[in-house]
Amino acid sequence: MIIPFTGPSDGTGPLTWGQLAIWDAIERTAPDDHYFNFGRVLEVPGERTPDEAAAALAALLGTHDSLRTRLDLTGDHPRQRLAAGGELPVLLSTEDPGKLLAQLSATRFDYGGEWPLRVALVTDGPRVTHIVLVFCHLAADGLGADVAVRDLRMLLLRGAATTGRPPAPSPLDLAHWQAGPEGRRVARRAAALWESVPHQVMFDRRTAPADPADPADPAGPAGPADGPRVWRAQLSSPALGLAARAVAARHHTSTSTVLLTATAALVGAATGQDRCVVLPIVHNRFRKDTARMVSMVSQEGVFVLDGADRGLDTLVRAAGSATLRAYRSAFHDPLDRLRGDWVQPLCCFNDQRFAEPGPAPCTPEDIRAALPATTLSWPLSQDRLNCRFCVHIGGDLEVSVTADTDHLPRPQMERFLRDLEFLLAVEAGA
Amino acid sequence: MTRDEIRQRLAELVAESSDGDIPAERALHTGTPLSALGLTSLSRMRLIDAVESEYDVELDLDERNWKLLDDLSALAAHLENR
Repeated sequence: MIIPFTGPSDGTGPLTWGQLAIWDAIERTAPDDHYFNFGRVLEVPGERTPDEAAAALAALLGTHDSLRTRLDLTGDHPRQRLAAGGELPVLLSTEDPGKLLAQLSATRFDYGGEWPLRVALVTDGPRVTHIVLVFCHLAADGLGADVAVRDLRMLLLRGAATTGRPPAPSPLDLAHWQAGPEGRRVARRAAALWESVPHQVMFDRRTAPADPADPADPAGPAGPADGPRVWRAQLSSPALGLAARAVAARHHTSTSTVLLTATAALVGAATGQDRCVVLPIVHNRFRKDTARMVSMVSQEGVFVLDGADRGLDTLVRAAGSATLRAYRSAFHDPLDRLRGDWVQPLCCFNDQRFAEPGPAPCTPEDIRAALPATTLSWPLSQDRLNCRFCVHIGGDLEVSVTADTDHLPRPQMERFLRDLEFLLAVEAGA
Repeated sequence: MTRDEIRQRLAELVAESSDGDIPAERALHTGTPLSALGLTSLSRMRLIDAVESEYDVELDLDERNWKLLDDLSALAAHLENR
């Protein structure tokens, strides 16, 4: 099925800070850059035919410039290229939505030629039950995708996505603002925070790979020497979720701050470094103008924790202002970062949860009772990644480490996750 | 603006930044630190951005300044005296 769409404007311009940052990550990860694709599945409300779903999708692309924006890669530097209209190919299928999501995410985008949204309509007879959306990361981050999905739902329900609010700026508008005096002022404040952090790489030593012949190796064989170098270990741990909420409640803070701080403390312990530098991915939606943008606005901030062995209780107290500085540093110009050669610890933290469960006084008994439900899996492996050590938080509650096994072998990746669960459980009194 | 008027306005900004989780009346009529009222770091950052734009100030996010960023009365006094 082909869906024609039109929007109110077109144009070209420089990339926004967020687009520049993800483009750099994409280039460093290629050809494995499908890693950055992500998606959402919308359960379609009411009874909608494929034509009605197509009309809603056309309106969505007409509303959000980001979804009509591709890259112009013909010059020395990429530019964003907004089209006034076009045609979106859409897959009609009766397959499982989750399977379609994986299928549509599995290949890299053609950033210059392809629309930054892949869509499948899942049908059951004459009606569409689900819409599967896969986003190119240049067009949206997690929160941007959530805005798009909410708008699409409203379009399906009411035929309009109007909220009464003024429209969010387009990526071209944002790039213009960022290059102007106010944007430069914001960029300079962020730059000052980055420039105050000395150079440091967290996992700076190569380590021997796990012994494939060792039956005691809990992670199993590390694979042949020419196997994938990057692996992801994922811990699904309700106990960790409860413990993080209990610690957050005690400190009047968020579970995100607790998990970031605990991650920094354990990275410090694993690397023997007293000062720990982690780059959290920050959504950069504190400002009213960026709050509802469908765009790639998220960027890395810089989080610094000194005295990583001081004990989690002390560290979480110190983390309040460190977190705020990290948030402020995140809205920065990647070209400043390149010119200034800012710190690159190759160690990042990405809390991808849509809704963070708030602090709650979970009891030690409940946490202990949940411990047996913990499971570990290895859901991803590939050859290249732009980082060396990445912690992702998702779901309720999944924590993963994606790491370069030349610097952190698989048994140590598992160790890190088990230590994180143990540290927080102990801190919560379990 | 008097300090009380600034406090009143700050309480409204707390409510706005926390998406209503902390109503202005609650922020205004308590000596409790904002974190103990449940102001998250994300909401706090929105509050700081809003205060900086509205009062044309730059707030230092250093650890030494934490009390200022966690106490409505201290922040109101700071803005009155700037």
